Amino acid sequence: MLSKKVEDVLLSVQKPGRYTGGELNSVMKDKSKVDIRYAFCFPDTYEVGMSHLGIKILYSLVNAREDAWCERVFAPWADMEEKMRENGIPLYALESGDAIADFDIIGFTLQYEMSYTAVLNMLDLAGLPVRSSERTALAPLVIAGGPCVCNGEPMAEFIDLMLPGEGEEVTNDLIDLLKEHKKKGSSKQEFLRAAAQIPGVYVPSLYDVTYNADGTVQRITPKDGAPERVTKRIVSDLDHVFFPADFIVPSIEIIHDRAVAEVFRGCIRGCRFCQAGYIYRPIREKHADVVNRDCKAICDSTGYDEVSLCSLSTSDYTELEPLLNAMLDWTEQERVNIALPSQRADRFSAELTQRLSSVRRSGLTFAPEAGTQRLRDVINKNITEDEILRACRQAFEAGWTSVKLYFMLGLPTETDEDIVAIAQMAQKVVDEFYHNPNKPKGKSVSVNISVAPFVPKPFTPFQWAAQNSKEELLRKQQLLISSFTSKKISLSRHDTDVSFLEGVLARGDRRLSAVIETAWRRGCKLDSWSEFFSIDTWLESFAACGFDPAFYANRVREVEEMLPWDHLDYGVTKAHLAREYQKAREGVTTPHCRVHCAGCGANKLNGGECDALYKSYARQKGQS
Amino acid sequence: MRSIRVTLAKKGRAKYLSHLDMQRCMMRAVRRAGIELWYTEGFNPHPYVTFALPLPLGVESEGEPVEIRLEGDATNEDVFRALSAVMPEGIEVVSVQDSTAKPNEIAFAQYQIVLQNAPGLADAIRQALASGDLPAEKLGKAGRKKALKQINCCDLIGSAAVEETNGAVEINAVLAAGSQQNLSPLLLLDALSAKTGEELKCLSVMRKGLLKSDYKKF
Repeated sequence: MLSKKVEDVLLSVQKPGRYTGGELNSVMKDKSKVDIRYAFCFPDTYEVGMSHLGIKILYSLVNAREDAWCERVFAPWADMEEKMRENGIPLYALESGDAIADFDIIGFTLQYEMSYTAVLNMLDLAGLPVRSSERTALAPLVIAGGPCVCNGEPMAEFIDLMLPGEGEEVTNDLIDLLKEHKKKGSSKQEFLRAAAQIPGVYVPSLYDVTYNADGTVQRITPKDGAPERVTKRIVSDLDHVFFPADFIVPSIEIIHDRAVAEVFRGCIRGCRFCQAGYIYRPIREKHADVVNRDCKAICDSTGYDEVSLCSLSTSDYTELEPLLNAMLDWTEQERVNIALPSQRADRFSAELTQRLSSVRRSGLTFAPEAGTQRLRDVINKNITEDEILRACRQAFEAGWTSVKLYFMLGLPTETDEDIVAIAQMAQKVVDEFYHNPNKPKGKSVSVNISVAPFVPKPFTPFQWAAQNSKEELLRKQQLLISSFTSKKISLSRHDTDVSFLEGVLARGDRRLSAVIETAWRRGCKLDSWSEFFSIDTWLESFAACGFDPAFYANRVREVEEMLPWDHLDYGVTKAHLAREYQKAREGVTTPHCRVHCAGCGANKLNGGECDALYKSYARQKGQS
Repeated sequence: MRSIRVTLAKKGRAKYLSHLDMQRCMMRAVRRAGIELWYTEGFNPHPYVTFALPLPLGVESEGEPVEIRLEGDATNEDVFRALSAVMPEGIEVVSVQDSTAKPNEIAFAQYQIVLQNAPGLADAIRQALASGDLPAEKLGKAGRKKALKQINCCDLIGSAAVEETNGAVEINAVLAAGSQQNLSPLLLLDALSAKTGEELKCLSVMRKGLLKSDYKKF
């Protein structure tokens, strides 16, 4: 429910629908009848946050409990923030309209590093101190999950506890424990010490970090009985894991405005730059009939006319064909489009893609990532130029006229030759279009090349590698631009300053909390939006705190070095990552997990099971 | 294929939805209700679900007509029941009828505007309305481009009555509406504010209904 104060300002801000709540399938409860009130916060705008699958799952999961009420909170845009501060409106939850400072849990999902200052800004808008140590009461407890907590150290001073891994089970464990301690009247310290005993709960304040004279981490020491290493939680059986049958249907348009169903977790590919490919292991597939049932239920309850089959690489789903056949039985009739994001060029089928989407025909996107075979071998992309050209040829023959290709700049071992090869590949794609004898008359082709600076991430084989400096990246961008030979090719570039900061925060240690706080106090609050991003403010903040950002981004780390995230265990062993790093430097590829298990170690999280192994054996035996 | 008119009320928090948001909400509601829609035949088939007249963001309504083209043999009563069960908060199905009039027959809309009272406010507004001169700036089309146009609101007011009721000033106005000439009640308020020099505190704006050029109900 909206307060009078909020109603008074809503018509003076853009897109007031962001701040009203009341959407279809949002959950209302009687607050006097619940024990735990949970504010699920996404540190970005409504349109971005509501597009995220995790929030939908965890929202429904908590609300399935009678004793808890989960509500949603997003970062207000600058115009609303100004009105809120002017009129004394604290950050409120969309369902009840109540100030979140009075909740039991404030949970943030950290999806990308550039959202860190938004977390601080939201805590401040809620009227809470941003530092964990200054929030002394048990409630509200500020927690965080999401991929960034695999190295949440830069946020260590602000977050009371982090949940590495998948949230479905640990969220319930945590709520149970908090409920118990709330009844007992425990102190925050007592609760945190107890919570640290739950597998998959990381309490940063229970670890002391010391540093060497050169600035590297010397030792990470647990205290008060906290475990030496915190192992991420996973859900073992995806067929029986909680999945909501009803999504909230936003009333205003959001980024990904469609139904989403998950088909598997993890990735078999082992691309060496890809954090998601490592931190979501082991592979666990959902059965086709379960996914089909999920999709139907969501479409029925939401009225969406598009459903996206989500995973890190959906074309690697072993039951894709039976699933699509089962889905087409009802989607064609009901005019529902099926979206297959993350298609690999080597598995692309134009015919299939056309069949899935009866109406819309957007451009196609492939990700060669690097221009030469040598560099693609270094990063273990395992796609050949022929495969990419074949996919584009197929697409052109089927009538597409627009293709987007993703590349990275600044990959380890990259030379100028690799960059020029990006332009050459783009030209070959253009040529493919004109070689097509049946090309549509009077139509031209557009090949969009998108290059993003490579950012080394924790828990990847490149976690030790140096990120290119801004100057080097700008030089490489210029080289690429000057190599283009056709007007049919367009280039989109990612901001090098943003990538630099992303790299610093991704592999930063907890001393960077001071820098983040300083940057926020100096006005940084929505760094993922170019309107608000200011590299100068960030650089000044680093200087003011006495830290050199290049130490974190541009330095080659020795494999022996103690890393700020070494006390977290994501299943994949450091030894495996080091082996892959070595193979990368030798330009040797590793086949994907179904061809040969590389022994990454992640299956130990699932009692030794990994669907990459099981499914390939089953297939060999012809039982798939 | 047959055309029906679904009349929707839009109240409370739903008033913060834009016209485009409403179209999306309606499409999804129709899908949830399982109503069999007619689709255009062509390369890119699409259904026909069209609001007769956009409602400005921030304005509530007692009756927004939406034309929907159906296949199958669902009766108006069936559609009413199916749709009523799936509408989001704040949007309510008032009636379902056979479609008779076309949106281009709309000429006026009736609005009830409630303002917070202030000393002398009602009289000041009456005077402003009676002056015959209420200039306002409107973003209109000039060829294919958008350009600011100067308009006189009084030319677009069919009738307006101002009343003082317990702490509020209520304006009941019939304003030009439709694709030819249109006056938004919010623009009228801006013009009134400029003319009277008063900061108008708007408590609510409600569209009560749509009229044809002969002032009969659309």
